[in-house]
Amino acid sequence: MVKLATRPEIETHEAMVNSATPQSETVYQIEDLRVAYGNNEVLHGISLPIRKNQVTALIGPSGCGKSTLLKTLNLMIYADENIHMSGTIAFEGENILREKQDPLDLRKRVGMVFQKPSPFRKSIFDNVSYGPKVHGVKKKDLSEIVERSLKDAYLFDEVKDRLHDSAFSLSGGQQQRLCIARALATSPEVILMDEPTSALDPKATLAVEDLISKLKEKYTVVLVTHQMEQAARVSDSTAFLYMGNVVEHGETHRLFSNPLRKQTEDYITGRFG
Amino acid sequence: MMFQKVRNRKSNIEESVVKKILLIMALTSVLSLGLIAFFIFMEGLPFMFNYGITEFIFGTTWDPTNQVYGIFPMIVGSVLATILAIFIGAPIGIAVAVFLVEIAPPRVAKVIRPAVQLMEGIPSVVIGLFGMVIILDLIRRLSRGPLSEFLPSTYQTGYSVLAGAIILVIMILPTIISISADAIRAVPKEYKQAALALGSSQWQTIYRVVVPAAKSGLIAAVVLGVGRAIGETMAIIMVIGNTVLIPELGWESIFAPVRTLTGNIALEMGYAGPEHRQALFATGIILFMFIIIINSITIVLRKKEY
Repeated sequence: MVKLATRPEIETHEAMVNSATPQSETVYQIEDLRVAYGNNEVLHGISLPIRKNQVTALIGPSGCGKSTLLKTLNLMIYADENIHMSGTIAFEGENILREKQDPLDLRKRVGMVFQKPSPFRKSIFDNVSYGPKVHGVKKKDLSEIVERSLKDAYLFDEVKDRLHDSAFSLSGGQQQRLCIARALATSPEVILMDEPTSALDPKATLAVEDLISKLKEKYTVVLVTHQMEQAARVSDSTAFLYMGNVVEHGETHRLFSNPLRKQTEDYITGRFG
Repeated sequence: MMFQKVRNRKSNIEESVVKKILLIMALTSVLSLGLIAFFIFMEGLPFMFNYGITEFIFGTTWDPTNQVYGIFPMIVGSVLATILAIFIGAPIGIAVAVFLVEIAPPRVAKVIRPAVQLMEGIPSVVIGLFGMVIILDLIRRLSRGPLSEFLPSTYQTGYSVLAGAIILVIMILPTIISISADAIRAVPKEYKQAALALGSSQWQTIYRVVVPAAKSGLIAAVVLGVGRAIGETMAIIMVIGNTVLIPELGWESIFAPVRTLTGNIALEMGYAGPEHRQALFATGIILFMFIIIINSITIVLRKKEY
């Protein structure tokens, strides 16, 4: 978190505030996204690109809207009541907020991992094979998918001899990596992670972070985190959200070393949040 | 200062008196369980040993005037009616619970939930009346109509295992529904979230994740329903026919009139002579054992759940 002594004027660098590495392809293009619960608008017109095979971190103080933004990306927000949305979220060029979008189909392509490790009360094998099974994959193909997913989550070697034991026999960190493997099993293009390490001890946190950096070879990752160090360690680009707005978005290293906005600087130096 | 002290002492005495009274009240339930068990066993056990436990339990003839006391037909009657009732009632009860907790919009749930609770409060004799008038009539139409060729004439009166089971279903549904609903509500919402995020539909989430996770609670609900069903007396006497005969093996048996263990005691206690009376107490022992075993299973299962 090295900071330059003088901060460039904001106005002249307006273009940089919303810039990431432009060469990379975008998976999501969010434009003017507004989300309200009843009369309470929590996202006030967010625009943000999410780039392919990158880890994009969403940071910001509690209540800034980063989790809400995350769950609109796979339409898990439809599980909440009384929501109003406007704007567009283009996923691979198609607006997922249009009415005929099937959320189940989208969620097959966009996996999600939650704060608390939440394996089902089933065996390790049945946990990972749940998604493909629901989507009608034939039984004989399941073990191959399970093996591939567990390998992608770097968990296979630890559990290969006890695939039919209960998922609850695993440690907390292993359970979270199992949940990641479960999300990978539907062969998604994007993995959304909502503070995936907040319930884990430091060692398990490192293992999961390690996994996240490896995942971007094959997948695109969007990571919500309240630990700025984590965002700095694993992400390629970072968006800082505050009070329902994207204050600043850019390449992670640049954002942490040379924030363009005063609010960003205050937040990453720990003055609030 | 003085005043303060006196008041303190007074409230201390009050406290210990109240505590003791509450303890005594709490003990009465344990005590009455003990007393009931003691009296039933005291009256019935000597008879069982004198008559022979195997002959008593597995004897197929019940003829008090000739001192023959075999309660096997009643055991079969109770078990048949209970199994059939659970067979019908458990799926319905669990389905209603799933609907109430997972699917019903709040406005609908608001109507159904109190209705279920009210159902629990209906006196069994009233349900029995309903059974005598409506259910017996329906079954009679079935057994004398399209099924008359297949059923012996004694099976065509309407009084039957089926009628008893339907009455039992009405009586155990509220229990099964409310306990199943608790179990389903206790499933962590993270499971549901995770299942939805993997692209499963609401229905797939329910039957692949929520219901399996609530399994032990649902089993407890059903077992408790079994306990209630086997102990039910009044309503079932009114519709089940009370014939001391073991029904023929096969599907026809659901149209057979039978007698339950509870019915046996309630029907004959009024005019029983000394030995006959002891035989009825012995019937009570068997019933008591059934219910103790079933309720113990429930307690173990519910402990596991929470």
